[in-house]
Amino acid sequence: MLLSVRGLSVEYRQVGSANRTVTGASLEVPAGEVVGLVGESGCGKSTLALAVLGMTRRSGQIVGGSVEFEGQKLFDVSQGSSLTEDEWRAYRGREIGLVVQHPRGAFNPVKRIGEQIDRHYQVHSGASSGEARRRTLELLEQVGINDPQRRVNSFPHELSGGMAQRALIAMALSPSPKLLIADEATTALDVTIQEQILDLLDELRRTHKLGMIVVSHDMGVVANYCDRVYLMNAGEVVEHAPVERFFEEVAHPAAIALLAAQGVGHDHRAVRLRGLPVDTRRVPPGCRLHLRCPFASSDAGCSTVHPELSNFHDGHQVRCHRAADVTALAQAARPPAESDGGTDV
Amino acid sequence: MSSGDGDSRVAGDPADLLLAVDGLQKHFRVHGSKSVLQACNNVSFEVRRGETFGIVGESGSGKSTLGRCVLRLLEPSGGLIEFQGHELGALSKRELRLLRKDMQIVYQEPMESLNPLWRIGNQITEPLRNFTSMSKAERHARAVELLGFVGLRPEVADALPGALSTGMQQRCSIARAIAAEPKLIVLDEPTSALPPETETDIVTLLGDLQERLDLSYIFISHDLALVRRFCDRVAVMYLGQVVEIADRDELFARPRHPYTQGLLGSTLTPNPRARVGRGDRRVRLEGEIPSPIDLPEGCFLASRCPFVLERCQSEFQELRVLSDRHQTRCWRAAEGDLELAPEDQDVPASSREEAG
Amino acid sequence: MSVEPGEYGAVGDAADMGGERSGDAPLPPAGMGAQVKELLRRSWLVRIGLFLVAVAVLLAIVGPYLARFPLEEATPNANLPPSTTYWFGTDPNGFDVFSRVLAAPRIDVAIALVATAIAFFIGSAIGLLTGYYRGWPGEFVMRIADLIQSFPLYVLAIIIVVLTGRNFQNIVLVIALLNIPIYVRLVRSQVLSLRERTFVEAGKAAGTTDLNIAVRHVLPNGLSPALAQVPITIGFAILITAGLSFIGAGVRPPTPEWGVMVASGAESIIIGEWWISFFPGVAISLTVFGFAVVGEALRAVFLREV
Ligand SMILES: Nc1ncnc2c1ncn2[C@@H]1O[C@H](COP(=O)(O)OP(=O)(O)OP(=O)(O)O)[C@@H](O)[C@H]1O
Ligand SMILES: Nc1ncnc2c1ncn2[C@@H]1O[C@H](COP(=O)(O)OP(=O)(O)OP(=O)(O)O)[C@@H](O)[C@H]1O
Ligand code: SF4
Ligand SMILES: [Mg+2]
Ligand SMILES: [Mg+2]
Repeated sequence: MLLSVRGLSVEYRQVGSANRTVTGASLEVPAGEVVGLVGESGCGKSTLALAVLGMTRRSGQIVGGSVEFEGQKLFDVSQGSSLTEDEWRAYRGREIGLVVQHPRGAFNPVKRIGEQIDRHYQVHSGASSGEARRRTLELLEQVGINDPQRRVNSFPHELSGGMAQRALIAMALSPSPKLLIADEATTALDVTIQEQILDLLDELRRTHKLGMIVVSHDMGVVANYCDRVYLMNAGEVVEHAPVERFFEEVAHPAAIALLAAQGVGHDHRAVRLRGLPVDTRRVPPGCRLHLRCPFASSDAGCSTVHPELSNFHDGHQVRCHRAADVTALAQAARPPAESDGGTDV
Repeated sequence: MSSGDGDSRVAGDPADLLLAVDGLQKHFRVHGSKSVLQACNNVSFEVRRGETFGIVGESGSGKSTLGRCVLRLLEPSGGLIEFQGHELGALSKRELRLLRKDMQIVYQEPMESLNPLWRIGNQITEPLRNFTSMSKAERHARAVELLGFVGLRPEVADALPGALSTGMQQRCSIARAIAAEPKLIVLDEPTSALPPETETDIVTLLGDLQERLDLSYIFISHDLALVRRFCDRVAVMYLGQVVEIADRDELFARPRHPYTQGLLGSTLTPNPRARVGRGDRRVRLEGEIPSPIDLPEGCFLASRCPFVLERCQSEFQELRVLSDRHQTRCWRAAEGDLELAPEDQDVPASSREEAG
Repeated sequence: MSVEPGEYGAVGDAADMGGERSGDAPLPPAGMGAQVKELLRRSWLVRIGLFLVAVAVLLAIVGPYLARFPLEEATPNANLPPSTTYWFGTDPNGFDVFSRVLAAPRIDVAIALVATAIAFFIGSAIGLLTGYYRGWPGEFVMRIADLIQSFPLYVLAIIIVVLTGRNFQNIVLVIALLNIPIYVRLVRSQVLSLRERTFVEAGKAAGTTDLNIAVRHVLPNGLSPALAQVPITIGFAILITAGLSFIGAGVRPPTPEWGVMVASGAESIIIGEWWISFFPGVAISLTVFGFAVVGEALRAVFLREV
């Protein structure tokens, strides 16, 4: 296994409150496979992606879980162990590349992008500056930036949104990482260029066994490029399955709602979760979703017992008391009432 | 101004006209050389009241630059912009500032467009502070209301942008744009960070507002399904030029410019059993996009166009009028050479084939 | 000095990724408060620095009341070595060195604080305006700043004080003037990069006036390096005050002031009466050192966040 994440929990601590936005998330990425991470806005995808590298955003803290990369423990909170800062350097950026969701903010605003990509490569490979520049130009070309010779001299704010995103992808790929974490890395790109980038990554996956975690809300990307899909909701992994099963035998209500919104699915197009996303500072007892879920039933224990992630099928796990019924019911179910669906618009 | 360019005016009551852009140019200087980068090249279009005008095009084609120039957030290098009958270039700084109440923008990068040190509540009511005499308490109440519109909890008003996920930041920036109930909003990829459920909600919200306030949008997006659902007219940009401009249905049913055909031909369907097979598209654009610094002499697409002829290499292409609802910048298209059968162009949200 | 995004690998969020981490702290706390705490926990040097700063500031307030003997009253007991009566000995005027060492911060630290505050506010304002409204006035100001900074500061300070007269105000103003260019530069370079940021344009789109954008959007985001510079300037100011007084261009004896005191004992060192200069000298060193360490620590915390 290239990467295994076990029971990862992350909290954001603010005065008087702790917001556990990722709770006990586990995830595995085999070498040469692409894992898709999907879920509502704010459900903790970016937080999880960053925590894999032992990092959090401001005021965050990893409060539980462990991460293992190629058999080497990167950290394990229960044992209080973690790599030293020097040891981390060998992983962050070099073995594990990260493309964050806000590409322009990732660049230093006062340095030319060419310099920044060169330097990233040099730091991680010890290459000479000449080699680094060659590599930078080659990569910029591969991610579809025209005229790289001149573009390397641009400052970050002089790039278009999509170019900044591609430059960041080039930067992340430059030290040839074994795992790439791409957080909504192609959102600013039109389909043609998106495809070019995804094909490039696919090529690396095949030839270099590059493993990937792709965070995306674009079900087209997930369907076409991922091998396995993890669905998060309210900070928990609530379902994971091989991609075909995810799109066809999906069992969690949140997954059905997600696919329905994108027009995938059979007769359950209008299934929605009611109201606002669950506030992770005040999670209800029982299933975190039971107040929003159209399938919730107190007989099944939705409002009292917190469901565990359990096997639904070979390699397909679901966190839902009614998983078995939901798939069946989904076909027949109509949305309870048009008026109480969805966010309050 | 737009010398020789096809007349982009649309028939209709002139009182309906909200914005007229004529021959807009934006050039950037290139570091360490005398050459310029032509991000917008002689762009002309009009937006009517209550209309949604879509702009699509490849990454780097100048969409965001156009949007910012139209609101004069960037100083254009040339051209005229008339908004509600005012020529923006002729206004004083103060007049322009006061006019901003009626023209707002949602930036492409949510995180970048929010001040990291301002609480969200203050940030989304910044236009109200400048344009109305609302008290602090009233503004706060309005902030909470706006957050509710975009599906966020009231507590978010007290958060700093850094404590929000990207999708939440994006919705805050939409809330700010609608706060002062403007007449025109430039929406630059406004839902790029949002998953489908939220996207639907936001688009519905924008539609409702449009009806209630007779609002117009300039909707920049690369999501063709969304453009098709949301826009009334669409302009296709390539290398800073508008290469095609038409009513939505017309454009999606009968794209004439080879670039548009290529753009519409590519889409990823959310179906893992029908993973992309390459080469099965009618028009596929191969090769390098020319640099906006050394623009070609003839048609800008000539180096990539599958229909290229000798004449394309040398003759600068003007925007040609095909009908009062359709213009295109390709002589072959204008002569009717390149019609595509409508059924080849299928870009709905739900193009899922039933798989076995 | 600032952290390169991507420097430690994680492309991107590097800047928000929190402070230094060590093997024994299982996982990094992030956030400025947490980082400060982390810094304190890990670095005894910073703790000592903070302690010294606290002592100096405290003495500036209560120092004169701790005097064991009258501060400016000559006695016949001149040049006595340290003893149980005179802990740090006495000087040629028969003053108690210990009492005066404690009382001196009233002058030294006060001058430094006032001068630094002036330099900070004026320098930041100029830096903001010249950075935000580019053009010839800005260039002109920068050339003047160059000019001031290209002089040997110490010499410049002496010249000005001598020309303008040695009083408290003039010393403060000279030190402020010498430091203004530093703040102009620090703030201006931040502002030059901040003005290209989208949120500044978003402020314009929201109808905020230019001046308000500069003050409310740009300035708060560009102040960290200047704030981190403050303790360093204070330390420097103490050194200059003492230095000026030492050569007789600053505070006049017999006012209790460290530079004055060092000077009063300078000649006696050769004849073995070391204590007269030694104790005030140590006091200067410790105080300047304390502020410098705190300044460096602040830089480490602030500049990560930029
Ligand atoms: N620095 C922070 N301080 C406090 N709360 C935070 C912080 N960063 C994120 N959060 C909260 O954590 C939750 C998860 O955020 P995260 O960025 O991981 O979401 P996401 O799944 O990536 O969403 P999106 O799809 O919108 O990017 C959000 O509710 C957010 O408000
Ligand atoms: N401030 C600037 N200085 C120099 N060049 C710029 C500047 N802003 C934009 N450009 C250039 O102008 C061109 C158009 O950029 P723009 O941001 O408008 O593209 P876009 O169509 O919005 O692309 P995307 O879909 O990737 O956001 C690009 O080549 C870009 O590099
Ligand atoms: S456990 Fe119950 S409430 Fe939770 S998702 Fe399943 S059906 Fe809905
Ligand atoms: Mg995210
Ligand atoms: Mg753009």
